[in-house]
Amino acid sequence: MFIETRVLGKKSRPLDGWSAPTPPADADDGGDGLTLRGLIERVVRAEVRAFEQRERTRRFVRVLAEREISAAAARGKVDPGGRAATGHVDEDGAVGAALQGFEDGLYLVVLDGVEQRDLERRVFVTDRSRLVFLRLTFLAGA
Amino acid sequence: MDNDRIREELAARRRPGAVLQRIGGLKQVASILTGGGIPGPLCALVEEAFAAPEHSRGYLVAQKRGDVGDKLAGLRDADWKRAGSTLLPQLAHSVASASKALAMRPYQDGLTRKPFRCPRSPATLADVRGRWLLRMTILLGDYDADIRWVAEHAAHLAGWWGSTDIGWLLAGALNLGDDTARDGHDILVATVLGEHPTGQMGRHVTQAFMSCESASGWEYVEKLLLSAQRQEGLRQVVLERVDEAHPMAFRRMLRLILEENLSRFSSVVRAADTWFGFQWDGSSGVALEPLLRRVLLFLEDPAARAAALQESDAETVYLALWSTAFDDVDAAIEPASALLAAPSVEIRFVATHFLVQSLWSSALRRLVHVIADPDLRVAARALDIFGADLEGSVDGARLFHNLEELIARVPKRGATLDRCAGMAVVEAEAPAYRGRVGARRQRIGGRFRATPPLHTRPRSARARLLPSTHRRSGTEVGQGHDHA
Repeated sequence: MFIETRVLGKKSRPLDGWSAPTPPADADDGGDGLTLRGLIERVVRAEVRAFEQRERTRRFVRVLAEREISAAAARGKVDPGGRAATGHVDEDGAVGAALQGFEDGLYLVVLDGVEQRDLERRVFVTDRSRLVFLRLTFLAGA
Repeated sequence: MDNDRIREELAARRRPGAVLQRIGGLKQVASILTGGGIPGPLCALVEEAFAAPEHSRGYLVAQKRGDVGDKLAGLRDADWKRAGSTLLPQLAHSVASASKALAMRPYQDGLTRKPFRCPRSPATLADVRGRWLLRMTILLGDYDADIRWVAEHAAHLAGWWGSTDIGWLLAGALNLGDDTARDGHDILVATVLGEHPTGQMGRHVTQAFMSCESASGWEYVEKLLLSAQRQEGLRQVVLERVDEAHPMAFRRMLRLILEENLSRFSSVVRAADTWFGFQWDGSSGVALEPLLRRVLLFLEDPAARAAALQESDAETVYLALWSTAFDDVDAAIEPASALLAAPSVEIRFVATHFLVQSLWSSALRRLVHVIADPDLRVAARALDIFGADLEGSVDGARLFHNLEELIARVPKRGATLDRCAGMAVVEAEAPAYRGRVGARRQRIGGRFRATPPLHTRPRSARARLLPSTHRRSGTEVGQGHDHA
């Protein structure tokens, strides 16, 4: 499954697209797929874990060889690690915020070109599926 | 229906001069001779308003704050009813009903209004009723139309200043509980849904539903709020009128915000900021929920409110004062005044902050003494109210004396004031002015008048006493009179 993020009205993407393993069908799904709620939850949990993994990596102090320093400098940034810990990420809180954001209409979910509007609706994801999170903007006019 | 056709429809219904004919007709003259008709002072106000150019009539009424109350304080319920029947005959039932509902309306208005009520002040209630009736007469008096037609065309009739007042009229109609009320309700609902051919969504809709006595109206606005999703503008329209809502509707709204976690939206935080007068820094996260829980508790439990006045936490004390004034400002002035002598600077500051925001005449007299407070932040906050000439409302000699002493206490090049009681309002409203507390002496009518020029810097991180020439208008202060 390929995941990408978009912002309404902008060509550039806030995040590069990434591939994620297709969620395995739960035993209790009975082969009926999973709900949109479940799909969002899995994506968010996977991203939180990926974030924590990256954060752990950045905390580790790296000893760089001269060649690595030169290569990093050529890219614009030499990162020896040793970052301070950002603290534990509340995975359940992140899932709650994502689902709340969907209910508030802050973003749309488009799966294989079809907008998904109901969190409880079953969705069917394959290895070739394309999942788009489209961020919308607040309407300020009264 | 397009706007051109609606304008034509409005013009066809309008009978310019109809109001003046009604109050100057033979029937009215005969009524006056027999002790009926519109009371003389009100009649004079109407004539004065209609003598002004059409575009400036609303402004003229706004300028008469206080004056209207003084002139109409002696009117009895029967006088108001008769006045409504003469000025707006086809809307008489709704006007009479709205006039009763206005007893629940906060006495302040404008952008910095606070939802304080004054059930014990006939003069202020007469002022609120009188100015509302004048504005309604200006807007609707010349139209040959009933309340249903007004509900359908409210957005087009209101112009840029009348939507709130028409909302109160429609609230009066909804309170009648008859067929008119049901029709009005249906028209407003259809307007919200965009299903009415003429009706357009506006503040009159939310004001009507929130100010009426019917829980179904409140519930409808609550549903509207919950369904707003990304429509921050809609949320803002709803919430910015909630402080003028029926007191029970406001309490329900606080519960709804807590239950549905609506404080996640910036419009809710902003609305709460204006209700409570904190002037939070927009960039800082605000823990709204604990604050709303305290307010809700204080609004519903007088014992908890009284106990909170003894607390050491300044914000809690302030919220207790605010909650008291929400129902009766007179009941809050004495406790706030007593707190002006508290040893804690924070407590004295919030008491001063509350008294300044009350814009209540008995509070003005106490604030004269606060200018002599040893802490400059407290003195500066008290001084905010004296940007206009209030010599007639307070002990002018004492005010002038205290101002001169304050001038001597402020460093020559000005002083930077720190936050107090954790309130950003210190930065926002601490006066920054020249001449230290900058009292300027002006010989007017053989008397000295102190007119400190004020300069505010909302949202600045710190306030600084600096030169400026800004002055507040007199209409911003002294909006209400105590019952004494």
